[in-house]
Amino acid sequence: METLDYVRVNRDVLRTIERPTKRYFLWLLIPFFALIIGFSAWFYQVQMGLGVAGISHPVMWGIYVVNFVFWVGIAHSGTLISAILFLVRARWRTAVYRAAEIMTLFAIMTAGLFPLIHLGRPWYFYWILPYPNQRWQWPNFKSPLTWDVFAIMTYLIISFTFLYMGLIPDIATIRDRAKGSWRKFYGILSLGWQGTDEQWRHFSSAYLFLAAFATPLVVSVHSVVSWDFAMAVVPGWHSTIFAPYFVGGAIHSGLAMVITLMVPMRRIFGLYDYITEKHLESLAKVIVFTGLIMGYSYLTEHFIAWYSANPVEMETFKYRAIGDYWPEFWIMIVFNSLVPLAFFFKKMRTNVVSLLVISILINVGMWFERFVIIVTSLGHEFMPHAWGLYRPSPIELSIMAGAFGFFLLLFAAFIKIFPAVSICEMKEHLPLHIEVSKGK
Amino acid sequence: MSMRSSGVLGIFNHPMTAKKGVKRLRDLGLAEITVLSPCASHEIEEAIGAGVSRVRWFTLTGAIIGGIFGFGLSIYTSVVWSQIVSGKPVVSIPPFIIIAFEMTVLFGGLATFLGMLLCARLPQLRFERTADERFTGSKIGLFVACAAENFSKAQEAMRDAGAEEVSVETN
Repeated sequence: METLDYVRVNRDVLRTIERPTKRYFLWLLIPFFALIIGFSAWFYQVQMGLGVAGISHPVMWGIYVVNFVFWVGIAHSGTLISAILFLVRARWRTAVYRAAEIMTLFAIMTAGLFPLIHLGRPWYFYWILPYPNQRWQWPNFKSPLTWDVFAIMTYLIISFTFLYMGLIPDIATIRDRAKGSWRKFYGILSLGWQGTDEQWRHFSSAYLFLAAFATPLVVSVHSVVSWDFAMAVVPGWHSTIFAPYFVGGAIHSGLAMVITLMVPMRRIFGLYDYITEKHLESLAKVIVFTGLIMGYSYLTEHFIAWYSANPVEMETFKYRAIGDYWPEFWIMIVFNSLVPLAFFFKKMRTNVVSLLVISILINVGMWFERFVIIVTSLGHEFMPHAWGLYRPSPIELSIMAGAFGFFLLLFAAFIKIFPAVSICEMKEHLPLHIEVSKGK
Repeated sequence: MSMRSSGVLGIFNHPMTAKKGVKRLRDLGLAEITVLSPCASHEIEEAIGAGVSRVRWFTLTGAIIGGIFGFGLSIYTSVVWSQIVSGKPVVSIPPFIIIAFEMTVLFGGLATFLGMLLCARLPQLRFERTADERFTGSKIGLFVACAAENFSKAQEAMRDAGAEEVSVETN
């Protein structure tokens, strides 16, 4: 096996952004059509009103909010890998953190679509922003929905800044080898980076501080999103467990999505020497941990509901397990807390097929977790005469498909324009006894 | 360090040999050194001895401004357009902590990035010296600005340290 050196890292990673083949564009048609379908469905919804969605009394939050929470959760793992693992000097993060950060940025953008989609009058979305107006009206800063706006907006801006800053040296590498208008494009984005010792010194310092800022964001943003539910008095929502429950779930689903993206990516780009079995195994080990957290959270919720002897709380959790949505509930329990236990076995952690299958099942399970939390609680609150059912309508499902298309399209396009593995950090972490280059 | 002046440029293959080169040059009293490398190197940073980056002051300032802004915005807007809810405080600090925290992180993060750009003197519209693509690839460039009478000393020091190529650059 050829040893990794500076020359090889440059060659292998820059090869991933070579001119795409016809096959690449054919594959892109799938998310593209999903996006068209989703956009058309949303356009129809704006014209006809929110009644075309399945949302109705008593379930006033349906799969739009499910998808919002799902995508915010996916976004968290990217920051965990790039920022938190950077601070604890986990070297294995080097090959996977760039793709995880890219996933974070587009996941948070996808999540941000849903509060807008969910509005009855989306053209008034800016009313949630604090701007002076002639009626002197301001947002309610005591509302979790306003906290959401600030948290998600901060997370989006900081994630973008963190990603872009880390990309600057790599963009300079591409700039020096690009031709024609691409050279100008990368030249502008590289900001004239040369790689002087002074630039690296300030870069390293800034990267450390940004990582330190991104770390509490991972915990705070999904805690704020969880308080959309916990601050209400709805049974099954009004619990102090929600913040750690949601953050744990976010990391769980995000890591699974990283594996779902990494496995095909390393195959398509031939990055087996960079994203190795060890990297995938390390991700799988963390998933075991987060899966146990999820299992413990489910047990705690049910135990507290029983221990409280609160009849409404007990009824809610009984309804979840054996009521109208029992299939969704048991998918959640099995896929999130039992299936990941397979990663206790090394064979399962190192086999790409099992990694891919289990990661997809975890994401399905996490989607259904949000569905169970939102729909069963809203549909089965305090007053039995007000209980009701919810089924997502074709419009909602089309918009959901469009969101997946949006995410995949952006991700696939980005990794063909910018390197999905960090060139400069891979070089930085090559063993010092290896000779840097034997050629140019 | 300015690369507009005349000096000696050495091309190295390895961060450890470049570090040796830096040390040798400093021992000779030639301290106006610029290293161009394709990745960060703590060994070279140590050898140059440039000290701690000023970016941290931008971070601190930004974070403090953000925190003040977060509390200021939420408290001011609550006072100026109060929503009176059955005896609950109009200015309620616990929820406002969330807004202040997010603004602290946002302003601190953006200030950090701005600080990095300012300290690293980016964006550079024109390079001081034509960028050599080898320095973003697989080679490390070590440039020492010095007077003409020190050229040969510097060249010898770099060759001794293991430079692949050494050349005199005049401006």
